[in-house]
Amino acid sequence: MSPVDAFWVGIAPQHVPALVAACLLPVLVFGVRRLRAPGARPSPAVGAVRLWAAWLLGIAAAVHLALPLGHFDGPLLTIAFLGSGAAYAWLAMRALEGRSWRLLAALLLIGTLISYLVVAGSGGEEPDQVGIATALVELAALGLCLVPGREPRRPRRFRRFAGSTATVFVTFGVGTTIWISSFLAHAATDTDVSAAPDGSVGAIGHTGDHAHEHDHAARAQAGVIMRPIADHHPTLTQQQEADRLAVATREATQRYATLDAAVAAGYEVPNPGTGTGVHMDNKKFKNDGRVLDPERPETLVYSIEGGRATLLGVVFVMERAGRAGPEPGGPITRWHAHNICLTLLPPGFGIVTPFGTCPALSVNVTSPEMMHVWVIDNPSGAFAEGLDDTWVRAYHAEHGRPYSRR
Amino acid sequence: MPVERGGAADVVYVLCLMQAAFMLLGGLGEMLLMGGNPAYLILPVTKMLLLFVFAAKVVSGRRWALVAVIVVQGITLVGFWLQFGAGFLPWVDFTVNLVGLITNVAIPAALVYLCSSLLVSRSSPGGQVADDLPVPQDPYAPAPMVTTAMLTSEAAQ
Repeated sequence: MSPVDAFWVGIAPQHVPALVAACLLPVLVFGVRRLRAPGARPSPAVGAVRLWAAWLLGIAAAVHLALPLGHFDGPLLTIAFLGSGAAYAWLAMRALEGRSWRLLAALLLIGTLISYLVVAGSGGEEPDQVGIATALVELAALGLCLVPGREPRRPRRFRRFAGSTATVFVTFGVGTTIWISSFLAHAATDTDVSAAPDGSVGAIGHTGDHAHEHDHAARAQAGVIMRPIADHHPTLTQQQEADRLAVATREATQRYATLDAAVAAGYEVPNPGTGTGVHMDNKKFKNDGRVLDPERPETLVYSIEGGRATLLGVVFVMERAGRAGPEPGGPITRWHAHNICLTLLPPGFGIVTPFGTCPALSVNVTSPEMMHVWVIDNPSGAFAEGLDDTWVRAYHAEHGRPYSRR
Repeated sequence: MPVERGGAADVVYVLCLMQAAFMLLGGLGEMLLMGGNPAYLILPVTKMLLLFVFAAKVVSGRRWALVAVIVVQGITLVGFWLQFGAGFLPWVDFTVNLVGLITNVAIPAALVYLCSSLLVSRSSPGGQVADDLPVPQDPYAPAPMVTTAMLTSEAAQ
């Protein structure tokens, strides 16, 4: 996926008006200043904190006032968005005019952040870039509310310490909640039609929120990057193609039923080489110029525990990063990539936070696109991205095969 | 050195606190992914503590802290563009998104700007003057005299 595509995928379509409104805010402010009568009383000089608070609250106001344009919610939620937007605008003006603003702004910001986290956490809305960016703006404004200004003669050490601690932990808590919410949203839609009990053709990667058309596209981009799908409903041909790929992969990988056979074919056991989802790469197959070839899967996934191994599935990986993989099964055969943080001290990796950040001295990279195909009877289907650990352990206990070498 | 209440230094302080929280979140995420090994927290916590110290000293008016914040944010900005460049390699990509632009470009750039402004204002002769000098006024305008002390007390409200 190109950087431009990845950028736009992160923005939920229903939040585009809010983003546009926030971008137009400086133009609006400039226009109002220009239109003001030449003889009008100039605004009083304000400190940097008030100026920043006014801008941050103004951005929050613009976003909230524009949200109903994209959301098409019920009257209650629309009134709530408009009310909070108007309140933010009023508080921004108070900050600019030199009047008290901190207490009311803090209460409104905390209320808005909690509401967003409740909606995201309960699956009402998948966290996207506009939602997280607005939360960041609100967190910065909240920090300005909570941390009192320092004066040489009035250090106010306790209030500053309490405000600083609260700012760090609220930011950390909001980030953690958004992260968990995005993973839950991802897991909730991680199933394919082959898992449907009646075999009917259903919708893929969809939260079921048809009013919002909230297709799951991992828009938080915190560890997983996905392409949006134009149509959630696969055609009969796509269904057949997906089935064909799953069967071909299952048959072709029979020869890797034992770990020894996989090692002999050039797959390498990573360190640590135990767990319910050990990924073994084959460097030769990674650079063979073939895409989605069941005979030469780039990675095999095993469960390796208790001296036994069970082949669970394969991962097809694109040779070049940023290049889109073919989707013979349409929305069933969906590719994804991972944005990860590579660290050297100590060597390891993490995943990018919902705030788009990595730990200190690490490099943020996005992997080539990849697709799982499970060769066992995964309850979530052959093309689901993940397996349930408990189910895998039970399956492994029954089907695990001993291996001789690592 | 006098520190203006509600001034740019306080904004720098809050933005640094937010960056410290981002660091904690990223460090804990990596630690969990690497099997709970606390060694992965050493660097993030160190940078977090450094950010706290720099931020506090910026508010105290320390010149070296302003320079330190500019250097740290400069490294972040250079790192972002290096990663962007690395995304053109065939093996890896780099995802640019709205939030990443805010945290990795906008906030560091804002911090560099704010700290540079503070450095310049404190280096200039006008930056060293006492609090209570009158602000130059239009002698023909019937406006009351305004002093910096009045402005700062108004900003404090």
